[in-house]
Amino acid sequence: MNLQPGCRFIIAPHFHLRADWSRRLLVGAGVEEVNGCFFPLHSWRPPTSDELALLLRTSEGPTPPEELETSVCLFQLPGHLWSQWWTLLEQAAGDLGKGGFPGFDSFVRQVVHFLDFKDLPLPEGARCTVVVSKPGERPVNWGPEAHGPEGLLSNLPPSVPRRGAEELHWPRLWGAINLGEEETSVVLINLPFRQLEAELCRRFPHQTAPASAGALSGQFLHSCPDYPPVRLILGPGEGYRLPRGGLIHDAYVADKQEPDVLMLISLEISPSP
Amino acid sequence: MSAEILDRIFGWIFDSGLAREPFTLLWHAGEPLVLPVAFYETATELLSRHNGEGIPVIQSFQTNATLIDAGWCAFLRQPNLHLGVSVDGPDFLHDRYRRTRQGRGTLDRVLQGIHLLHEHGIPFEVITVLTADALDYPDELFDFYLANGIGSVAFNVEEIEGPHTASSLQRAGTPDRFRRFLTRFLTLARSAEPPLLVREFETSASALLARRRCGPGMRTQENKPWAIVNVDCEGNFSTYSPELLGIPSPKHDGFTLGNVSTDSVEAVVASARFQRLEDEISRGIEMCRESCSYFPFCGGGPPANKFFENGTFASTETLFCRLHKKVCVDVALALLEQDAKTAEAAPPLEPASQTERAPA
Repeated sequence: MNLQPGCRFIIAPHFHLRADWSRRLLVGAGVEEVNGCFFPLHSWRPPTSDELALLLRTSEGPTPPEELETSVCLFQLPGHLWSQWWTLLEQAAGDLGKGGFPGFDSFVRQVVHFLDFKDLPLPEGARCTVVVSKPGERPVNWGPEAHGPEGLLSNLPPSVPRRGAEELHWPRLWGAINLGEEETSVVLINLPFRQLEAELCRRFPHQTAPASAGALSGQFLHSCPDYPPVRLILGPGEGYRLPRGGLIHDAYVADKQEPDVLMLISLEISPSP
Repeated sequence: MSAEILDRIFGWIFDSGLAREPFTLLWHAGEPLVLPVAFYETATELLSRHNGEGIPVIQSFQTNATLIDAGWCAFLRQPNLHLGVSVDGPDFLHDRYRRTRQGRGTLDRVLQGIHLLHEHGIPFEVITVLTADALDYPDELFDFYLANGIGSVAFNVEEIEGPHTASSLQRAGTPDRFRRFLTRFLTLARSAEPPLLVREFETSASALLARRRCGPGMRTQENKPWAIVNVDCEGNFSTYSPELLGIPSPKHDGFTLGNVSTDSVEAVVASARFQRLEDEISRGIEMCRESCSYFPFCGGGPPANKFFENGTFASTETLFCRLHKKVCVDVALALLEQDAKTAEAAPPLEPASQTERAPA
C-alpha cells in the first residue's frame, strides 16, 4: 500500500533547526501484530521524492494557523534548557526512585515559558512525564494506564468517540521532547482519524465504522498492516507537537545505543469548556 | 589614512584644547583591521608624541574579527586598548546579512577570530545588530554567547541611517516584540552564572537608579557639540553623531565642518553654519525635554537618527528612541521592580552566629 496524503511535517514558526527532511523522515514497510498490539516492522527506507511531497508543505511563505493545527510541528529546546535537564539529572542522582525529582517542576516551568515565548503554548492542564527506555526495548506508551509497551496507539484515549476526536477538550498526547543525548525516533501513521475512517470505508464498504478512537486505530492497523508508517528522527533537544486531531503513533528506539529519554507532554485534565 | 594626516589630526586635537580629560580614540567605519598592525603602531606613536600632557587615551577598535591573527593578538594585548566585535548571533541570523563579496557567510571566520582572542586572553565585548528576524530568538542568541565565551553584549537595533533608508524594525508591532525579546533575553542573561552583561540593561538600570540621568542642561555625547569629534581619512571633521560625517544635506551644506589642515575649532564654532546646526539640534533637544517623559534617561537622543528619520534635527521621536530607549527603560524598570519584590518576599538573612549553630 502506498503512502496517502495526510498530515504534513513542518518546522514550527519562530524556530530555526535544520530540517534535512530526506534524512529525518523514513518510510516503513508496515506493521506487525504481537499479542493484540501493533509495532512497526524494522524495515525503513528514505522517502521517494513523491512521498516527500506528500509529507511536506510545498507552498512558500508563513504557514497559516489552520495548517499548523493539522501538521506535525517540529521544534527544538535551546541548548541552555537541554543542558539544564542533564545538570538536574546529575544532581538528582541517588534521589530518583524515592518518589521525587527535585527541580523537575522548575525545569518544566522553564520549558513552558520557552514554548510560550515561541507561540507554541502548552494547553492548560498539561502534564510532563519523562519516559526512559532501555535501548532496543519497546517503549512504554503514553497514558496513566500504560504499564508496558503497547505499540502504535492513538494519541487520544481509546474511549474517545471517533466523531469529535478533533475537538480540543479530550485528554491527549500534545507532543514530546527528546531529552536524550542521542537521536531518537517516533513513528506515526500520517493519516488523521477521518482519513483512517475513509480508508477503512473504501476497503470494507459494508463494515460498520468503529465508534471510538481506540477501535478505529486498532481496526485500521489490523486491516491495513501494509500501510507504510512514517518515522521521524529527533535530534537531542528536539521535540514535536502532534496535530489537533487524533493520530496513531509510538516512540521507536530500536536503533539506539543509549537509553531513550523522552519527555511526553500530555493533556490529562479536561479544561472547562 | 596616511601617517601625515594622522600627524595633523593628533596635532589639531591637542592644539584645539578639546582634549582636556581622558578620552577614547575609536577606530571605526568600515573594518579597521584591514590596515596593518604597523599603521596602528605608528598612530600610537604619533598620538603619544602630541599628547604632551599625558592625557589618558584608550584606543578602541570595532571589528568584525575576521582578520584577527596572532600578529593582531600580540598588538591587541597592549594596555589601554579596547576591542568590540560585531557578531549577530548564530549562522542563520549572522550570515543572512554579514556576507563576503562572493555572498558567503562570515560567521565561521568571525568565530575563528573570537577563539583566537580567547586563546590570547584578550577581553572583548560584542555588538549584535538586531533585525526583526532576531526578535524571535532570544534563547538561541543566549546559547550562542554562552557557547562562544562571550560575557558582555550590546544590542544595536537596525537603524535607518545614511544609505540604509529602511529598517525591518519599522514593521507594526515591533515595540511589543522587542519588549518580549528583551525581557526574555535579560531574564536569561541575569540568571546565568556568571551573569551575561547586557549594555541595554546596565545603562537603563543606572539611569533609573539616578546614577546616569540627564538633568536640565545636560546632553548626551552625540548631541553635545565637540563631545565627539569625527575625522575621516582626508582629515575632514565633524561633531555630533559620527554617522553624519560625509552625509550630504543641501539644507546644512553637509555636515563636514572643516579640515584639520586648514580649519581651527574656534573658527568653526564662530561660523554661521555651525551655529545654525547647533541651534537646530538644540531645538530638537528642547522639544524632547518638553514632550517626553523619558528625557531624563536619554537626554534628547542622537541627532543622526532624528535627521535620517524625520529629516530635521528639530524633531523628537525616532524608531531608535522608541526601541532602544523607551522599551529598554521600561523592561529594565520591570525587572528592577521584580527584583525588589523578590527581595521583599525573601526571608531575612540569619545572623552569622545562628547559621553557624548546629541544627537542633
